[in-house]
Amino acid sequence: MDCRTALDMLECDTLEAPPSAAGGADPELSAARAHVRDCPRCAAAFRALQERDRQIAQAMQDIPVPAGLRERLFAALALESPGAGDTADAVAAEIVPGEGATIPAAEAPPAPVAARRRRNRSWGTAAAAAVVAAVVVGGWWAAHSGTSRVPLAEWRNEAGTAWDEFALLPEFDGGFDAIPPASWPAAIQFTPPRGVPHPDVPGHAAALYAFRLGSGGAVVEGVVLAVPASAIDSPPENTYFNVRSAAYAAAGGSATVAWTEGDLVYVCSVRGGREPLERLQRALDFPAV
Amino acid sequence: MHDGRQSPDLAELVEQHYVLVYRYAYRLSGSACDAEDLAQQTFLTAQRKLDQLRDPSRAKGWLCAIVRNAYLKDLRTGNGHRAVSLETVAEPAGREERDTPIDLEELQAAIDELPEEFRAPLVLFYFQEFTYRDIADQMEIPVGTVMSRLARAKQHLRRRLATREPAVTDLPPG
Repeated sequence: MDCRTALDMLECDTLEAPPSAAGGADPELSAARAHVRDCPRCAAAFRALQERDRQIAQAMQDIPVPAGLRERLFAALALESPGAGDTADAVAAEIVPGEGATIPAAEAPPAPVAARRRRNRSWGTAAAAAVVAAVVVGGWWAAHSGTSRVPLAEWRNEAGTAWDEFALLPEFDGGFDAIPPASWPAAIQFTPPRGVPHPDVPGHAAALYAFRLGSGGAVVEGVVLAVPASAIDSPPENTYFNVRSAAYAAAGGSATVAWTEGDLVYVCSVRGGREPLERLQRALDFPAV
Repeated sequence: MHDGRQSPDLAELVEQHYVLVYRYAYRLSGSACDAEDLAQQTFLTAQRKLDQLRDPSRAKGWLCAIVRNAYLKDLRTGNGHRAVSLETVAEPAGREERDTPIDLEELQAAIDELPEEFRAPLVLFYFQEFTYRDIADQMEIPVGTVMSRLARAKQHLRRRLATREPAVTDLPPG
């Protein structure tokens, strides 16, 4: 057996604890192993491949798990379990993922997260989602009862919060003419808008769009909140996305940029601080002036 | 009718396997957002079909098979992300150096380039959680096919990550 054939045959044998192949001892595989054992050059090459595979295996598993994922999974399961989601109490009182593993209301996260683009998602019923969304978003809005114009700074905060609850927000009711930012390139894909409620406003006070640019590791994900300028106290003066006007949250790493386009104020929120914002700025091809 | 075996507990499945499920979904989809959605779909499907899991010791492979099915379904229905290229956008200066000799972004980009039928066994192999037989069962293909796809996928990965790869070439013919 020649060196290349031997190494090719052992291609799947390079990790220290390789998965065992099915079946008994393969004579060709045994011969390949014997060759690599006895040939110094092959042995060196094989060790190099093993080391490389160990590095790749380590990198392959190097994926940070989002904070709160476990709790959100249990919340999603509770929403779809029989009888759950009928009332706000059913959701908030107690989520029972299984014997001996209850999540008290105070700890139960409101819901599955993340900006999802799927209209046909399988989890959660619309009714349950609406109930939970009301519970979730209600906390923020409770602080603003009785106001009709909300300060821009609080819309910045709300953009990030609403992003977390994106999947639970109802479809935007079309109560005002909401569109994604016209100043952004048409190639950027937005989700259908979700509606963000307000206790003093009939219907939805804001429309929330999620977007994603890039591929592989070079990805910028975020949301854009569209609010009627008339509903904002002191709308921003700049008329396009400008990273120089960004505001950074003290915790959580989110950053927002707000601007006014026509009758709408947009608040864009991304996570990760300045770098993804600047990347987005370059993608939008606007000068940061 | 019960066959005497104890039904697996869903909460236990979540506790034990949600990290693996999420990471597998992430490597398949290339997106944290999609991965979380897939993880949720996976456990919701598991909740509905828990009675199909006869042997709790096979739960890990069963869940990974659900992840992959959910991912493939999303691909078919066009629910996956349609990404806009950032290739024309220059990388910012001063990127952080990582401890690993593998660039994680390059790694995911290389994985994304693979057809799904190569990507899934590759990821499962490097997770070091499954035997070839397990992978074959999950994908419903012969073990030999798993190994040949794996070999090709690994070669692709090595080529893409070749800049820092140890030299293993120039072998004598025999």
